[in-house]
Amino acid sequence: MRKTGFILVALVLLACRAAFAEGPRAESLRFDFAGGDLLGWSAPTGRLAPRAGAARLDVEDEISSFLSPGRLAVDASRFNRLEIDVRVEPPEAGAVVYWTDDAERGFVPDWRLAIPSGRSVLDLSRDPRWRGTIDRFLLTPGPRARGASLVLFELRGARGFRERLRAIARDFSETELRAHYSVNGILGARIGPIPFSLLLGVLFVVLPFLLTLRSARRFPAKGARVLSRGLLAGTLLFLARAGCDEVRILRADTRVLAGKSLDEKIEATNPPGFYPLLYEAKRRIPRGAPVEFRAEKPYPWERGAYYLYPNRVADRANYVLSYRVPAPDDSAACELLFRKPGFGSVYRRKGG
Amino acid sequence: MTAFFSAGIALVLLVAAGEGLLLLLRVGMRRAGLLDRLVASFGSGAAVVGTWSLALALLGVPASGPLLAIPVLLYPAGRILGRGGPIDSVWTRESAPRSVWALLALAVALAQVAYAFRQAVLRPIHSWDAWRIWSFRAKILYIEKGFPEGFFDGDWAGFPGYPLGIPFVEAYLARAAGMWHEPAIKMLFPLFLAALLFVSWRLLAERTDGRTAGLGLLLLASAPLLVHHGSVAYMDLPLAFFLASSVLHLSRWEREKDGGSLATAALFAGFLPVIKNEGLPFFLLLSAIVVVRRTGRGGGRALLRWFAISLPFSLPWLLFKHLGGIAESPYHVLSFPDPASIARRAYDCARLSAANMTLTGSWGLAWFALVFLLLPGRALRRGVPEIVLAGGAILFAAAYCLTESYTFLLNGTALGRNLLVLLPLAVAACLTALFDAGARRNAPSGTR
Repeated sequence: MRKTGFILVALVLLACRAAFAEGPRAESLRFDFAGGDLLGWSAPTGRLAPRAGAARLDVEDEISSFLSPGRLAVDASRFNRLEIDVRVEPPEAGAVVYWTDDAERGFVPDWRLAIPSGRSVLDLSRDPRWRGTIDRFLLTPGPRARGASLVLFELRGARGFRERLRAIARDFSETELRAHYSVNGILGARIGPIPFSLLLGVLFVVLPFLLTLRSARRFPAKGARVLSRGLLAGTLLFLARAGCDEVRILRADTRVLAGKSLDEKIEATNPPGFYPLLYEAKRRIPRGAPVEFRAEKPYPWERGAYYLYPNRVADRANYVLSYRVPAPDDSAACELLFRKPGFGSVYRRKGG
Repeated sequence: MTAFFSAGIALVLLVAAGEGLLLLLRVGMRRAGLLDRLVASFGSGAAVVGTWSLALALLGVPASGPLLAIPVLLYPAGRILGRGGPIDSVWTRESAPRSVWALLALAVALAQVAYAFRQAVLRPIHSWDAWRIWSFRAKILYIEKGFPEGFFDGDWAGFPGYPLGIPFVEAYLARAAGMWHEPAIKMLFPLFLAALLFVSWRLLAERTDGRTAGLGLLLLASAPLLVHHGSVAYMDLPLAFFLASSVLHLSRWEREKDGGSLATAALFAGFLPVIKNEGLPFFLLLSAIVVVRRTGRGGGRALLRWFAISLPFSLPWLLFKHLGGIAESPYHVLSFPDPASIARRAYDCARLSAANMTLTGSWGLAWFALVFLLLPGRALRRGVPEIVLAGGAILFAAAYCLTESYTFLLNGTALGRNLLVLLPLAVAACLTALFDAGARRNAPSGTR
């Protein structure tokens, strides 16, 4: 029994080591201005020049900024730590970093983060705006800043014991995204590269099972006790993790849905503008009259058929409802009953 | 709030109707535990309401509120006509959980059911098959008070050949609520979750001991996908409940040969084909077990009782569907691909099942317990759960190998739900194997 315990402890330690182990070292995207080079950075306005181991920006107007080279092609899922060392004058002015996944489109106000003067590491791994391939960055000193010196701008993955520990703790306790919950299966958490349930299953069920088998023909009675305890411990660990998900999902749903009418709830669980459009359409179309529902398949179309009933969805019906797709070809000959700009329209075919 | 209250009253009436039917079948109450009885009455009531609503629809009689309430008359009828007392029922009274494990498992199960209930009443319908098939059909049945014209033409309201048992129960709750109130109607599904957890716990408690049953309950209650289905209005959870209930009562009958358990098992098994298409092969499998296991002088009577009780629930829908020429889903039609394709499909089925059981967050550690079926020195139990588990696994694998459901295997839209249906039986079989082996080794040599 003692031997089994030692082996189990060793295996747990090995698993922890695996979870904390550095993977193949991910190369980072690092702009270190100590070498006296601007490394392709520029400034739309203001004066940018290398000075004293930094890129020095003298602010001239509101849009004086550090602008990174374009087409950086940063994989947001791999590089989710942004380490910046920027000295703003005065320090309390701070700075704002913008990013874009489409340099042609430019920067949008939503995709930005305020940063303090000095050295900071931003964890973007759970930021829903940090996704896809990032093309370019813009670093703007805050209002009333006279100037700023950019020493380091680096994108990388989690590094070092503390960051990795924090990432593991967060992975353990934070909720799955709603999209990870489906009626067909739940993606589940990972500890490092290993699925959490697999890690627990191997550590608390499969390995104890193998260790309790002394030979192919003997299964000790106490093995049943060991296995049941292993199963219990592993399940409780899993439950602790899953419970965090459930609590957060419930809190989010309560915030969004509690105290609302049924129509408001339906509206909140559908794409923006979808249910109000259908609701208005149903008010204008006689009950039971067939409707030609024009929308992308599968999702909006299938939902529409459900919500529109008792108006059945049918081709070439007298009433036409378009949701985020072009109006019907014969719309010029139709009477427009209702239009919700940006979402869709309801028509009645003349003679119908 | 009125809708919730009215739907709640309708659920109470449904349970009363189910209890009335059990009394009429002379399934004894005397020795049964209250929860055991309540769960059986709930399942029986769902079957009664579903079958009665189907009968009204087939007869073309609009399903008004008073007509839908008629099954509740079964309760006084059962009290009067079933007065002869219980027939040879051996239902055992469930003992209150005593060990820390059992209390822990009970607390976790209650918390999970509460979570599912809160989700069910908070969110309206928000899942694909509910929109496309099940709740859509229930909404139509509620609004039209029966089958509207063209209901079975084409797939505008879901595949026409899909059964309507639970959508009829949803429509019944909507009639009580006075409107198509999605959260009020969804109250039904956390009840199925609670009932399934209870039935699974009983199944293990009657085969092993309280601790093992508690562990099994904990394993099931910690499976996030099972809990998630307690609020999404899909039919896999009801199917799992009716299957597990039938297995529980059939196990009791196998052990004790009592007519009450057989009658209840038949009732639950008979409703299986009216829940999902998969229910029909499960019903046939359970019937085959009864045919094979009936022994002695009462064997013929047992067989008669089984079919006399189960067929009235399954035959109306099956006859209507097949004699009426209602089109089956193209994904459920046998296609017999070439042997190489079958081999590839079987490999994909095994590979994807293993990945689903071990690499996702859907099940906790429940499926890992499968390793206990490998215990050496264990006499392979050939109980009902083990047979139905094996049969179910073969059934689903065959469906993927021999029909176009293979598409759903590859796109990941059905396998998880198939595993959900088998999970309670798997937990029962695995833990029984573990503790059987342990107990056998523990026992003094003379008692083996």
